[in-house]
Amino acid sequence: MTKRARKSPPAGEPPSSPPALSPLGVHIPSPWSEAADSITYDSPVLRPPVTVICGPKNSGKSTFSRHLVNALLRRYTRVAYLDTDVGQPEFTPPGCLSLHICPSRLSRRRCLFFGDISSKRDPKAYADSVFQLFDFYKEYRPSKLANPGEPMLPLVVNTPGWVKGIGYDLLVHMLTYMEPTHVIQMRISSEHKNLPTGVFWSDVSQNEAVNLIYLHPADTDFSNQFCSMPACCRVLIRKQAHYLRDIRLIAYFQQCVPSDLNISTHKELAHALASIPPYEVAISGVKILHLHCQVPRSEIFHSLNATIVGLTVSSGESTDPVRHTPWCVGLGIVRGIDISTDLLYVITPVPLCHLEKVDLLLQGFIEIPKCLLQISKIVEFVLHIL
Amino acid sequence: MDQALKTANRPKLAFELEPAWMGALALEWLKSHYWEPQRSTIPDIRREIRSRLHQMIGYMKKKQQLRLNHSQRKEKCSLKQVSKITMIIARLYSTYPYEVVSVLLEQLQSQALDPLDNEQAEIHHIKLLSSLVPWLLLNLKELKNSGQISIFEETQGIPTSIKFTPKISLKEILHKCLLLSLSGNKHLIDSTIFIAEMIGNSLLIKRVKGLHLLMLQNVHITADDSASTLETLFLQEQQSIKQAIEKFDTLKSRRRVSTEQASVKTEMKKKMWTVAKRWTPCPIGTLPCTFSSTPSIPVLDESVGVCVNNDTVINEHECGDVSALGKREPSHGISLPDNSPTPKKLKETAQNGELDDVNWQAIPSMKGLLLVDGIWRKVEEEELLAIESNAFKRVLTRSSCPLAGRRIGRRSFHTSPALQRTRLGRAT
Repeated sequence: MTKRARKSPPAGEPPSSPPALSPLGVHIPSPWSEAADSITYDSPVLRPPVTVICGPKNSGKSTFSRHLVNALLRRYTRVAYLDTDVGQPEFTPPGCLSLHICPSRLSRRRCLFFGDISSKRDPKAYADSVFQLFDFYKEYRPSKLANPGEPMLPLVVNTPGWVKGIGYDLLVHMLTYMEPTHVIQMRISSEHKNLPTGVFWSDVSQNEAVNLIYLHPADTDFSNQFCSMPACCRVLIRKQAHYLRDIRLIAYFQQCVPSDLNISTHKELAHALASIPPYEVAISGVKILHLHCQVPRSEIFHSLNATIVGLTVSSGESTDPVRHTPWCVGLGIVRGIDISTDLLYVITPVPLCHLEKVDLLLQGFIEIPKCLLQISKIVEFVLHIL
Repeated sequence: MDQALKTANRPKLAFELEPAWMGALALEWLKSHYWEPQRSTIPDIRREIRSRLHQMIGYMKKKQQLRLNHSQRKEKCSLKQVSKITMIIARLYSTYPYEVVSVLLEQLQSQALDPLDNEQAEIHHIKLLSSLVPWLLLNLKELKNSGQISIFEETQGIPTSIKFTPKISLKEILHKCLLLSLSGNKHLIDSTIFIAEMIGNSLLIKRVKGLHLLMLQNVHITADDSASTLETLFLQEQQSIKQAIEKFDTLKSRRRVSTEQASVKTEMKKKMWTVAKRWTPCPIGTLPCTFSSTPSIPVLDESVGVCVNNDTVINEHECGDVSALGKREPSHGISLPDNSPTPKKLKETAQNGELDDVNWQAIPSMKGLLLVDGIWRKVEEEELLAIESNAFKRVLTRSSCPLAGRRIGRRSFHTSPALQRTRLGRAT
């Protein structure tokens, strides 16, 4: 095994080159850009890099993977991005695992609805979904005419920050399955939270070289601060994650509302969502499945009303025959159920052409942002009636 | 035996001849000496029928002449003869129906083809003969119904069990009648419909009727045309072509409409997802009311009837493992009071699932019941007093672990103090 493990300079040392600034003004430390450049330009043409970015929470995995994708796009016309962080995905709303071919288009996206913000509840289903997406990447060719033997696209895999216990096992499992060419390990200052150094996922010697790169967070001060913070402040930051998820969902469902409506507050959005005519579908025409839990049939509609569901296509060519996990076209809010007319009302930004094939609604534990349910005037009125 | 005796008495064959000739010669001899005489003894049915019919015709003619001469006595006599011959023919018909009918038809045909003096007489004859066809068919039907004859249908194989070989094919008769009815004879037309009805094929009846309507139209046209000129004929031809084109166009348009409807239906099927046509703003989770602008809370309980799975009773101990995994299990129905040796399970609700009032009424009142390990049990006051003591309570919960499969009898709580003691002892 020819292992080329490189270490970035220690956090205390001054960077060798001036820090790069991304167009949005995000501070990119020089070790990061060096690592991204080496991944982009050092790999052979016939074997594009498959990079897995791992590390504990708040270590800058997503930021670095975004930077890496941009760097790769300078050399390659297309770059694949596998997002396995169900809590805070990059391109999709929370609860989804996805593979994107950047520059991203809807047609070049494959998404699986996991239905939870953490893999904790069903690690096996999570791993299966990741492998299904990775298999899709391996078989993906930019054009139909391309040879199966042609080189694949470079791949960037972003992983969740759960690196202890089952989370660690899952990461090992993923790394073993994917056999990456590069592994970026983000390390924070509190060592006990970091992943073990070296090729921790494999004790058997590998045939091909693995470039192991260690990086430190961009804002080490913040990390240090986070660790030295009192427990109550950490809770606040954790709550911030929840808030970020809500914002993601709100932004996602804002796409349902016509863009010419100037919506600036959540209240306005809630009003707009309540007003737009939803899609209607026959209850008998779709299947409803609960992920990670069983719901008695008598309670299905109670559990479904006013919740977020994954809109998936259970049949057709897109379904993997081996794993049987249906592709997800997007999320929707079940905004009302009328049993008497056998109709289900759904709000979703998914265009009708993609929605046509949807015949399976998956319900997980993705909570609808509370602010979308709060419509002061009407709610007051309803409460008055009750 | 016959043959053996006869050959014994006749002069023997010369066996000196060559063997090649022998077979042929023997057959020839057999034919001349045995087969031919035997054949001559067999009566020729057709000939007999024919002669009988001739006789009948003769008598009929005689009768007509006598009627013209007004000699009643002789007429009566000939009538007797006629009835006698009719009886004979009827008997013959019962044994040889096909032969009788065919001879009769032959006779009729020969009579019809007989060169007659004038055209009117011919027409009269045809009318007369064709008027007989419905009568014949009626008889045929009666005979068929009474089971005296069987009718051969092409679709069926010939049954071997039937005594006489069925030779009458209704389709053949229909075919003949249709050919003959082209002249527009009403009797024949009626009889074709009659045959079609006898066959019992509704489509065939429809077609035959349609054909006759067309034929009747043609008859009218030809009747009208008898005096018309070539020009009018040409005009009528044109008219009919025009009508045909119109009919064709309407058919085409109908077909188009039906295909369009079909395509619309398939589109409807395809369009499972549609945007709601009418919508009044209401908060997420509620439904717009059809009568007013106020939102309504949807009734989601109707589905209770759909599939309520109450067929199993799981107590806490069974649930324990599942809850440890952090998974929600479907809630289970309340079990019935423990009146039976084993914990009684609620019967599965009807498939279409109305949890009807009867079921609710069937559940007795909760008075005097205590929920023990998910099962409602009748508890008397004494038992309650006993339960009050902590030690006994523990015993009860421990002993009720296997309650799902076994009932702890009331006696064991009360009338067996020894057992109580032992349990208490174990508990303490």
